[in-house]
Parts: sequence; structure tokens; C-alpha cells
Amino acid sequence: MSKVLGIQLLWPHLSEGADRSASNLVGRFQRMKTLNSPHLCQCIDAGTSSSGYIYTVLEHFPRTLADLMNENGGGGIKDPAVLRSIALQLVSGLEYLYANGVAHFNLSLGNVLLDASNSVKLSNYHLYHITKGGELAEVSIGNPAYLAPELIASGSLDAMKYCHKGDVWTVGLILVDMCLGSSYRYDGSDDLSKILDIQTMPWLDHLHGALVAANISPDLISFISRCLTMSVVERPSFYQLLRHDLFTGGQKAPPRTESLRDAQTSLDDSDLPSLQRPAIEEKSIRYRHLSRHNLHQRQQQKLEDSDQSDYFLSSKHSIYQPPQLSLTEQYHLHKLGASISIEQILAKYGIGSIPSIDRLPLYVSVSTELDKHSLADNTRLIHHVSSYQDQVYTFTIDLISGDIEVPVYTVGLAFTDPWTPTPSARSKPRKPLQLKEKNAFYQVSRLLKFKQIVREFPLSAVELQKEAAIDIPPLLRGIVWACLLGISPDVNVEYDFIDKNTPTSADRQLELDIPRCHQYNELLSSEEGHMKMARILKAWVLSEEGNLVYWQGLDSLMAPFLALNFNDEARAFLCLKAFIGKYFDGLFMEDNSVALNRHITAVKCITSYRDPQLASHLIELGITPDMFAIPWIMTMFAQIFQLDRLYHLWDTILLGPKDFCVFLVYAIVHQIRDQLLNKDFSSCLVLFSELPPIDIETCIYLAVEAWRLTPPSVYSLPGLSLASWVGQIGIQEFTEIVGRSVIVDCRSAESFQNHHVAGSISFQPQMLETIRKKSHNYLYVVCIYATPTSVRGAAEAHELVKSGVSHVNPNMSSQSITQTSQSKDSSNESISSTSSTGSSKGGFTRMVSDLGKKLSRRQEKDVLVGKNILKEDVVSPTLVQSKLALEKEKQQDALNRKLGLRPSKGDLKLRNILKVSDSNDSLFQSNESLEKSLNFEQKQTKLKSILKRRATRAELESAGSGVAPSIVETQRRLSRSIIEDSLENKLRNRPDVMELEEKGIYFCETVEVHTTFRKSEYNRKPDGDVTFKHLTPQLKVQIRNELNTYKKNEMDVHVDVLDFLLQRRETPATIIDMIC
Amino acid sequence: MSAPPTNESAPGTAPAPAPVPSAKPVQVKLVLLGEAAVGKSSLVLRFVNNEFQENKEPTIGAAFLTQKCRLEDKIIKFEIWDTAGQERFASLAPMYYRNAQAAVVAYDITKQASLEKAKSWVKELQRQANPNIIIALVGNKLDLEAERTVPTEEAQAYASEQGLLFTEASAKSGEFVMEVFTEIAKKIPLEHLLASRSRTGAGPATGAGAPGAGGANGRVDLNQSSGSAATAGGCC
Ligand SMILES: Nc1nc2c(ncn2[C@@H]2O[C@H](COP(=O)(O)OP(=O)(O)O)[C@@H](O)[C@H]2O)c(=O)[nH]1
Ligand SMILES: [Mg+2]
Repeated sequence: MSKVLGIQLLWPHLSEGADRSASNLVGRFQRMKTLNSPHLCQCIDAGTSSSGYIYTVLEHFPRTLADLMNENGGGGIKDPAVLRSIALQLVSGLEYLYANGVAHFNLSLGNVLLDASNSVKLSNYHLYHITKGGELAEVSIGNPAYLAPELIASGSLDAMKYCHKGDVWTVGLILVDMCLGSSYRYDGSDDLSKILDIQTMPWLDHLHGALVAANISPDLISFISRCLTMSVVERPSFYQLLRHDLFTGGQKAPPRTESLRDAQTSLDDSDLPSLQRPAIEEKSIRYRHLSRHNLHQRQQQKLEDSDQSDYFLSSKHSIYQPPQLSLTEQYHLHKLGASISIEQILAKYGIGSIPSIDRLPLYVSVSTELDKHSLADNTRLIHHVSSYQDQVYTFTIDLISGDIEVPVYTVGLAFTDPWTPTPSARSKPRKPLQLKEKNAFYQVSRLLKFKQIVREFPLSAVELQKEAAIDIPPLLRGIVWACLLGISPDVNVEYDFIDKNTPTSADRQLELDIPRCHQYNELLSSEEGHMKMARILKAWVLSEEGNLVYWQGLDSLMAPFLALNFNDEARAFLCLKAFIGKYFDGLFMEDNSVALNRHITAVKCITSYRDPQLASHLIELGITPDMFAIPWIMTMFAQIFQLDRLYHLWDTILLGPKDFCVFLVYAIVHQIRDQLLNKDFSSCLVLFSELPPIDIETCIYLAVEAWRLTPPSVYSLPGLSLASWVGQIGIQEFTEIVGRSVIVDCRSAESFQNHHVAGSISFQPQMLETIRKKSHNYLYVVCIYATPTSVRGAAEAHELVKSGVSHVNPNMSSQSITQTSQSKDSSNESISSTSSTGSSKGGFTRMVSDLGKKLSRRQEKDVLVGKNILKEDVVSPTLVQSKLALEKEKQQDALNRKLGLRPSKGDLKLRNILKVSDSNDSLFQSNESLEKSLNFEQKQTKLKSILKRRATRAELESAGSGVAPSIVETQRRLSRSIIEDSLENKLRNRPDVMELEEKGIYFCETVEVHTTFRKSEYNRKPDGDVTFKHLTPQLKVQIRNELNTYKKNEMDVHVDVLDFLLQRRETPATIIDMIC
Repeated sequence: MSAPPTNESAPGTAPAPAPVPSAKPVQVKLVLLGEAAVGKSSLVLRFVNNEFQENKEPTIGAAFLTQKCRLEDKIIKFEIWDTAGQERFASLAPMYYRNAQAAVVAYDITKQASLEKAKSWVKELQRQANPNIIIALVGNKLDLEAERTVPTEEAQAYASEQGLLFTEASAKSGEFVMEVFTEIAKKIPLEHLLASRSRTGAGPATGAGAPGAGGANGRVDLNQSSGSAATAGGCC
């Protein structure tokens, strides 16, 4: 199967701002693509060719009305049904155009095309509209042989703007030509006076007689004469013409498709060749045609956007049809695959680049005797017929069908895996995205798949995520993004209800920013584009009033959504709103400093975790991410990448977690790391502002990998200090990497002696070399610090990095971690007041661990206990109290007495500990046995929270034989304590006895008695014959079978589901369950 | 005398100790302030690359550029922070003008309101910035003379009253752009800068600290503890 397309050429004006007018033209063309009527050639594409032409591409059919007449021997067409049918189709098509605010003004026998089944297809109807009547480009408008008298009289094409009934006259002329043959009015010579002499219009006087003589039906004659009404005011509009007796047969109702089809069948009955259209197509066309009269204008546009939107609507009205490719999609697939080149097609017609002489205006003034003076200095209107040019350059494309061999590509990284300390074996997908996008066959399969998914959205949300992770077909990106953002495809009226006209405070800024927003893009730089941007941004500002505000950069963010949904502002708006809501947590608030700082800090921590050497370099230079990354973050990279590349980046962002942006910042910085490492402060910053080419796919790969490998605590610990460049790791994650880490203890030697993580190395300058060597065999290097404050400096970590620790093996990362206080949330006052001490004391950072030395059970306990003692002591009252709830009353009393003493004890300890930490242990050991056991319980809770994130026992066991036993053992104890904990929780939440006494059941004091039925009136006993009494096993089976046959044969289901159903039938139990 | 930009590339990380002191480039930190779309970025672009872009995208946060000039026997390296114009970004501005030796406050001669905004920037600089900062008031878009709404005299009078350098320029035509920077270069006490720079090691790095209170703590701590403070500031 193939299809003919036609190219129309427009000549750009030579005046200043020509590129502007080209993009304005393309901007105006976009809406034309949404026009969709059975009587219009579909508008497909517009652009500027590299040789300087502006071109438009439309559906095309080789046969014209003129051809039809020639086939009939050049005389008039006599069959009244054919004439009537053509008249009806012409008027319907034009009425549709006018209802959409588009005037044709280019109508002639030559550009009314006929498709294979002889349906009328108007062509070239877009030229007048998109060029603003020739203002934006040189193009032939207004075939002189068909101009209405008022246009001839006014002597200027500009008058067309005010004469919206010119096309009605032209339809009259076309019908005259069809009835009487084109030579009746005009003999084809260059002498136009015969047609253009409006005073006499010699042929007009005899027209009626001629029509009657030609046996034309009175209805048609009356119709023609209505069209050829000299007075513009009295001339009917197309809307009125549709209700003419010719079509209604005297009834008042406007013609429906039925009448159109009647006419068509009778047309088919004549000896013209006919081709039956497939039923589906006819149905959908009819649907569109009918709905046109009922739907609101905007909905109409949505519906008729053949590219994307109409899947939704059609899905509601049709049962199940496999998705199909529209002509526009077919064209764009060819274009993506570069099998269409406008330049080459034109070259075949001998059209190269435009020689400057050709860029002069196309029209040459012709002085007919009559118009000599009035038209003397008008170079545009009346011209030789030969200089009127509406040539269409045609070419054919092969239609790609859905059932083809589809190349399979490897799948990229996904966001489904949780963080893991092991670098993934998966490499970057080998097939570049760009190649995939250029492969038309691959794209067909993707398109069809996504059309299906989109049609079934939101039920298909899971599949959508899965498929989008592979790639998103460029032709459906707009709607796929919308679905990913969770925007319901139903017609959303929110946007329409926002008043986008009343001035607001943001207007001034918008006015300044919009003309500077992604102006390299043809659509966004067009006038239409500017207007749309202004409306969307304004709507956003208004809809977020009191919540978010306009920050410069928002315009950049909106640009991709508009470019992808140029014909659907409402969707672009909703996407923008959802996108900002989802990924810009606080960045667009009036005061965004908190959010901004959080992002900046996260970038720092991730960089230092993943690339300590680079981080160290930047720290030395005094460069912080806020010096370069603010525009990246605020615009989600829209300001540093052009749209085509940005799309790929956002494809991933839309699937990722909300803080993924910071990983992309890291990925970009990492890609230029080698250059950065050799540069000084200002050259680094200059490099950031003028980034070298960044490969987007590498960037995505690096970022996803970094996201997977970075423990969440590194960038999201609540206590992260803004100034810190040092990635800190939470205790949970630490336990996961402890086996693969060299641990460097950076606390004082004394503290180290008191207690330390087994196998850790106390930091001494002379140990640098040892650590460096050791780090060869490990994945991580972790530093432990005593307090979060001392982590800030992290001088030791810094020195390690400088000594080359991170450099030995590129796989190796060094990182610093802080364990922040694990203190439990509690409303207890005494605790919250002390917990701050607890955190500063209990917090410590670690660096580097050890696999070689085993962490014996005792040792580990020691370490954890040792480090938590202080906090635990202080925190314990709540825990103890809750524990007590489980004890017997006697024990409780005893404990309470002891607890009464504890706070002071705690204080004592606190003071001691501040000086000598090992006094802890002795004090601790000297405690009574009961308390000891209690402490044990607390430790367990502690450990539980610490180790919560540990995966499975099996994993742990495989991680290292030396480490496993203790951990497994601990885990066992932990699971016990988890149960206890939950018990405690329940107990704690149980209402107090005192509270319970308050409650009771009370009756309303006034009782109302309602009248009811007497037994004789209404018998409450069930009917003796009701089914369930008789649902015998046989009946059950029968029902089941009936249901299954119905499901199998009659119910409309997806094919895939059908398979599923058939399987299900084999296991009747489930179905029975459903029935009963 | 004019100071055409030299074509020298930036020095590497380890510049050879220059025997003649005057051959060392003197770093001058300069900040551009002014209302949105008055043409700040365009002025810098003209100065740095001698280009003009019709639809320059808005600056978000800030942009950093450098340019070297020769003035008599000295080389001056301007380190320029071009800031965002939108009012909301004003809270970030201190981070850029802190420790700046010079500021260009721009307005648009076709927009009266932009001069008012410029005045408020001048006021803020006089209050908050380095007390010796050299401020130049620049009326941009001189090429749009026909649409002028701010009389030269008005701005001139204000500038002399406040002791500012003043000129009108056009980033589009390039007129008087170079002069702005030359005049600033002339007025900067270069000798003094050279001397103080080597003493404190306070490069632009320290100046451009993180926003917010206590922002610089981490780095300062670190530098002190690791003894690397002297390396800050790059090539001096
Ligand atoms: N006519 C004219 N336009 C200028 C001039 N300088 C800048 N512009 C335009 O003014 C707009 C804003 O410029 P930009 O440098 O981004 O301003 P900024 O926001 O202050 O950085 C851009 O569209 C520029 O093209 C100038 O000297 N003359
Ligand atoms: Mg700017």
C-alpha cells in the first residue's frame, strides 16, 4: 500500500525578519493539522527546507474535479445526484473550515480533489490562513478565475479579511462550471475581462436560462443563484447553505451523513469507478462527522488531533480495535527514518535552492483595460492566469503495516532495583537511542504498543512504566509524558476555567522572558508559540497562587511540554503543573532557599561519595555547586540542553524518583571531571558555564548507576549540614557495606582504645600508606568520626583522598559516613531535652572497614553498645516504661523505684563520659542485673532499628563467613524484639482504664415510631421458590458453564485476556467462588 | 587609553612563578546587577566574546565568565559574576557581590523603572558590599535612542551625586562597552590588590561562598585543618 502526498511551496519574503515569518507560518500551520474532516486533505507537516523554501505537506489525490469533467468530455455533468453530492461535500467541507475559523480563498476546479471512491477532498485550503493572507510568505492566493466580485472591486487581497463570503461565490462558480462546462464562463485565454468585468459579467445574465436549458434541477439552480448573490450581506453562509432545499429536500433539518451517503451511493451508481471503503474507516468518519455538530469547539480540536488525542475518544466509542497508524504518523516515521527528504523530492522536480531572483514577488501586475487605474500600483491582485500558480509537488510513501519483524534492543537501567552496594554488571545500552528513533520498523512496533497502552490508560499504568523504561516513541512523547505524570486523559476543563486575560503581577516578567525562551525552536519562536506560552504560564501562576510563584526558568521548563503538545494547551499546562508538583519540591516557592540548599547539599554529598577525588579538588578551589548548578536544577536542565536532547533526559526523569535531578547534576560534573581536575577556580567555573558536549545517554547511565549505588542516607539524612561536602552514611547502610570496607577510625587514640569497630584502623599520618594499600582490595573506605561537627572538616578523609586512596582502583569509592542519633521519637520531655546531647555524643562517622578480620559476636556487640551507651542511657526511660507495661505489678514497682534514681545517674555518667569514655563500660557493668537485662532489650531494639534494612539471612551468610554468624544471631534476637516491640506498641495505644469508664452506650431519649407494613400487607418470609434454595451442584455447574461460554464467546475482551479466561476455565473452583 | 582583551588562555593550575610582578594577572572580581532583561548578560557577552545574541535566554541564578585586559603594564583578569535579574533571585545576590572589587549596575535607557531598580542596587551595594567597591552605572541599549525614556542628564546627575562611574552603552552595537570595563580597571587600586591578595589568599573562592548563614564554615574548617587555604584563589 502506498499513499500520495503533496508539497506546496511558499516563498519567504526577502524583508527583514524573514526567519521569524517562516516560524510564524509553521506555528500557524500546527492548528491546521488538527482539522479533520472527510472532505479535507489532511495537513501533515510544514517546515523550512535547507534550501530556503517554506513547504507544507498535505495528503494528496491525483484526480481533481477538472479531471472528472474532462472524463465527461469537457461538457457539463448531467447526473443530478452527482452534482448534488459534490455540492453537498463541498459545502460540508467548507462549513467545517469556517466553523474552525479558516477561510479557503483558493478554491478552484483544480484543487478540489477526488479520492478513489469519488469523495471530495479540498486541498490548498491552508495557504490563505497560514500566510495570514500572504503577509508571511509569497504564495498564490485567490485564483483570479474564481474571485468574488467584492474582491475584484476592492482591488486588494487584503479585502479578503473582511469578506468572509468570498468562498460561497466561488462554490457557485464551480457548480456553474460543472453544470455547463468550464468554457461557458471563460475560454481559457489570458484575457480575464470576461470574468472580471463585474459591471457586466456577460455570462451572468444568461446563466439562468442556460442552466434551465441544460436541464439542471430547479433545486440546484436555486442553490447556485443563492451562492451567486451579488450582495455580500444577502449571500448565505455555508451554514445556511447546508440547510438549503437542495440537501434537505424541503425539510427543515440539516442534512446528516445519511443523505451524504445516499448521494454518494448514487454517485457510485453512475459509471464512475468506485472503491468500497473499509467499514471501520467509514464508521469512524461518520462518527467524527456527526459529532462535529454537537461538540464544543475545543473538544472538537482535541478529538480531531489525529496524532494523539483521539485515541481516548475513540476508545470510548468503539469496542476493541487494534491501534492503527494515521497518515501523519506514517509520514513522520518515514521522516524519522530519513527516507523522506523534501529537498530530494523537490530536486526531482528541478527545484534547487532558491536563486535570489526567484525570491522576488511571484505576481506580476496585469493591467486589464478595466482595472488599469484602480490596480495600477497593486502588484498583488490581478495577474495573468498563467502567473497564478498552485502547483503541488507530489510523492508517494509506502505505508508501513504493523506486522513486521521488529528489531530487539537491549534494555537500559531501570529504577526498580533498590540501592545496592555492588556496582551493576549491566553496561550502558549499546544501541544509541538516536539509532532506535531512526529505525522506522522499530518505531512502528513501539508506536502501536504505546497507542494501545495510552488507550487503556490508567489501567495500563504498570505496563506504561515498564515500556517507557525501554524508550518512548518520539511521535507519542507528548501524550506518554502526560500519562507518566498521571494526567487523566479525560477532557479536563480546569485550564479552560482559568482566566488568562486579566493582567497579573507576573505579566511583566513573562513579557521579558517569553521572547527569549528556546527561540531556536521553530514552534516556540512563532507568534502562536509566544501566545500559547504566555497563556500557559499565566494559567500556572494563577492556579498555584498562594502556593508557588513564577521564578525565571519556569518558562524554560514549560517549553518542552508546549513543543510536544502544541495543539493542546490544556495538556501542556497540566503536564507542567504535575511535573513541578512532583519533581520540584519547594523550588518554586516564594522562599526557595531551603529547597535549593537541600539540592545543593545533596549534590555535594553524592559527589564526595561517588567521586571523592573530584569533590576534594572542588573543595580546595572553593567551588560549590550553587555556583553552577542553580540553573540546571531550576530548569531541570532545560536551559543547558536543547529540546531534542532534553527529551531523552526527561524520558528518564519522568520515571525516576523525585530527587533524581541531583544525580544528573553529579553525572554531568563527573563527565567533565578530568578537565576540572586540571583547572583553577575561574577556569572550572567557566567550564561549567560553557559545558563541552555532554552525551545524554552516558549521563543518564551514570546518574542511574550513581543512584543505585548511593545509600539514601548519604544525601537525605535529616541532620545533613549545609556546609558539609562530606557524604555521610547512616548506620543501616553502613552495616551493609561494612564487609567490603576499609574502616578508618578518626577519633582520638583514646576513644579508639576504648572501643572500636573490629578491624578498623586508627588514623595516624604514618598509616596513610597502609590504608592506601589496603584499599586496593576493598570497595569502600569509611571514616569514623566522633561527632557530626568533626565530620565537617573531615581532614583525615580529605588527606586519604589526596594520598590517592580513591585513585588506586576506579571502581573504588571512599566515603565518609556519619551515624546520626537513632534516638526514638518521643513526646517525653526529659528525653527530647537530652536527645540533642545524645546525638552529638552518639553520632560518629566511620570510614573504611575490613573483611579480613572477623567481627566476632562479642566484638560487634561491644562496638554497638559502646557507641550507643550514652544515648541509650538517656533515652531509656521511655523504653523502660513501655517495657514495664509487660511486667508484673510487683516487678513494676521495684523498677519504678530504680528508675526514679536513674536520671541523676544518667547525668553523672554524662559528665564522666565527657571526659573519659571508658568509665562508661565500668559504670555500665556495675549496674544491677535486672537493669542490665533491660538494657539488653534496649540494645535489641536499637539493633533492630539499625539493622532493619538488612536483606535476608542467605544474603548475609553469603556475604562473608566471618561476619555472618554474629549478624545472623543478632537478627534472630532482633526478630524477637520486633514482636515484642509491636506488642508494646499495641499496649501503649490501648486506652487507659480511666478513659474506658467514660464510655458507654446511651439511647436517644425521644423515640420515634414509624408506621410499618402489616403481615398481611407484606410478608417478610422469603419466597419458597427463590433460586438459592435450589442451587444444586448440577445447577452450579450449569451456571458456571453458561457464564464461561458467555465470557468465551460473547463478552468483548482483549485477545490476551481471552487466553487467560480459557485457562481459568480449566480450574472451575475459582469461578465457582466468584459465583457464590 | 583602551584595554583590548588579550587572547591569552587561562593559566594552568601550576603557573610558573613570574619574575616580573606586573606580568601576573591581577584578579578583579566584578559583579553585574540590574533589572531583568536590561542587557546584563549581553554586555558581558559583548565584552568577553564580542558577540551579541538577539534572544539571549534569561540568566538563572548566576553565570560566571572571565576576561583579561591589558592596562598599561598590567594584565587584569576580570572574574565576572552575571546575576539573574528577577527580583526573587535578589536573595542570592550577596553571595556574588561579597568581596567584589567592582560592580556594574545596568539599566535600560528605554525603561524608566529599570533606573529605579538600578538605584536600589547601588544603595544595597553601598550598604552591604566591600566599602571600596567601584560601581559603574551603565545605561544599556543606546542603539534604541528613538525609544529612550531615561534622559542621560538624569542618570548622569545621579551617578555623580553618588560617586559612580557612568556611561551609556549598547551591547548590540558594541558602543562603549569596552570603555565601561576600562574605566573600572583604571580606577581599581591594582597595587593594593596585589599586595593584599598575596597576604590573605582571599581569592574569589572565599568571596563566593555558599548562600545562607554559616555557609562557608565547612570549607573553611576543612581548609584550615588540612592546611590548604593558601591554594584557594588559583593562579595568584
Ligand atoms: N536593542 C538592544 N537590545 C539589547 C541590548 N542588550 C540586550 N538586548 C536585548 O535585551 C534582552 C535581554 O538581554 P539580556 O542580556 O538577557 O538581559 P539580562 O536579563 O539583563 O541579562 C535580549 O533580548 C537582548 O537581545 C542592546 O544593547 N540593544
Ligand atoms: Mg542575564
